[in-house]
Amino acid sequence: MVCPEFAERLSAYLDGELGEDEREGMAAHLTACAACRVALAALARLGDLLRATPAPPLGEDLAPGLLAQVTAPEARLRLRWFGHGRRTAVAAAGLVLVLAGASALLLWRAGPPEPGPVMAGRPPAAAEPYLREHAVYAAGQPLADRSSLLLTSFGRGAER
Amino acid sequence: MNAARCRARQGRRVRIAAGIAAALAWTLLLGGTGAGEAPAAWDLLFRAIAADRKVSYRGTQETELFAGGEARRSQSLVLHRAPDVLRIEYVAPPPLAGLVVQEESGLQRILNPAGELVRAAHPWRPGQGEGLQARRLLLLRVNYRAELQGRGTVAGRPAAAAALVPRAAGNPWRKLWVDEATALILQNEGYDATGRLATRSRFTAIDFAPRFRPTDFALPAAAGADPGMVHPGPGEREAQRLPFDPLLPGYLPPGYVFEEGHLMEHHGVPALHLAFTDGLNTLSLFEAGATASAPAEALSMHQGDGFGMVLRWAARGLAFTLVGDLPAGELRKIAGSVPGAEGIR
Repeated sequence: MVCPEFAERLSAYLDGELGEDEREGMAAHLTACAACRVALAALARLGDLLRATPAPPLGEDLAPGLLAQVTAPEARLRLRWFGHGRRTAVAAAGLVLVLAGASALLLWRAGPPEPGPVMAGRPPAAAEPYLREHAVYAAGQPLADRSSLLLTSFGRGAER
Repeated sequence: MNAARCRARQGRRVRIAAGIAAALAWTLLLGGTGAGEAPAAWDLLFRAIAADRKVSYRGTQETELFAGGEARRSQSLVLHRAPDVLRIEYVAPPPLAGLVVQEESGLQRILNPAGELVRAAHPWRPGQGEGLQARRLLLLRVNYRAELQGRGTVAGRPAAAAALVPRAAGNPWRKLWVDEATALILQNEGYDATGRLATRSRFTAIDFAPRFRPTDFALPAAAGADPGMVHPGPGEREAQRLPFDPLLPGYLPPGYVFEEGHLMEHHGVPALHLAFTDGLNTLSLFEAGATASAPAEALSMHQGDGFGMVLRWAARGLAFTLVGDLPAGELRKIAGSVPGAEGIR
């Protein structure tokens, strides 16, 4: 398992974004920690895969649509706070596109939102056969605690 | 040099290489691999593993599950007639009284307190069990340190204590008290990935010179039994095929390897059980065709009751259930590495 105190900085280490002291500390840790080395290699591989995947093209009407929004009369009125005329509008549209791209990049790097918290207690009854199967299989292994494994799997009174 | 002599030399080289590999493996199993390793601890543990089949006994056992700040206790009668007949009959608390697990020559049957057969498992691969066990022991040696932890008394008998400590931080581990005379494990404590005591089983009384009666291992007739979960016997296995292509995880926690996969049926619905191990702990991934009972939500996780963590999801027309005593983040990483489940983080 990846060490929690280093997990968050693995990506930054890979991208060369850590300061010198942090980078040296991470390098020293990686020489001793196989789990973090495996995680770093997986991150690097993921990056390679993503770089090898062509970026999906923007929809053809995306940019003109955005431009239309920022050059609309209402937008022109708002933009007058920051500058004058068409050049400013185009620059603003470009800024919007850059911000949109940056947001997408951040979302991609962060991954999808967390699926939700871990729920305490037993899963739904439909999962019980699999819990039992797992427990019985694990109970047959060397040094396993058969009694407790079987007890957990049949804790609901052994419905069929 | 003629072809026959060439082949003979090649065969000898292969045998020598295999012998060296076996010697290295045996050395790894029994020898020390680092500072602080105690060969005596490994010797104790391997004797305990062997004793499981060698020693006949009759005893009473208390089992505790610790979760949510509470302890659930049960008592059972345990009979073992060496080498391969084992019966565990739960006698307390009342909801479990009458639950029976009996194994005989690899055939395992489980009867619920009502006397109904809820599981019947035929031998999957006769003879291959020993190969798998040897592999597990090697993994155990690689992934864990064995430490002697003094002596104590269990069920009135002197016992030596040994702990299996994971080399990778954050994995569950185990502490065992081994009877000094027979090497049978008298007390078995399981600690979860956070180091918290999760389970404890210990003999409160034990007799190593039991006189078994024929009725000791009798099972009630289970008329009209529908065992629910069955495993195809050797003759039936070839006729069975999975109705779907299995999907495999691309990521496993450090130290874990694929152990085996086998088919099963639950009330006629075929499923695949993939088992992974680090030598001590088991991780299971179940795949079945999505049915009405498949998880409707994209993902759900449950923890508690001594069974570790359960993660369920549906993808690509299949229902998945992942079970293991690992942190939630690790299970999510495993699940997210299964094709079609890349959204799981």
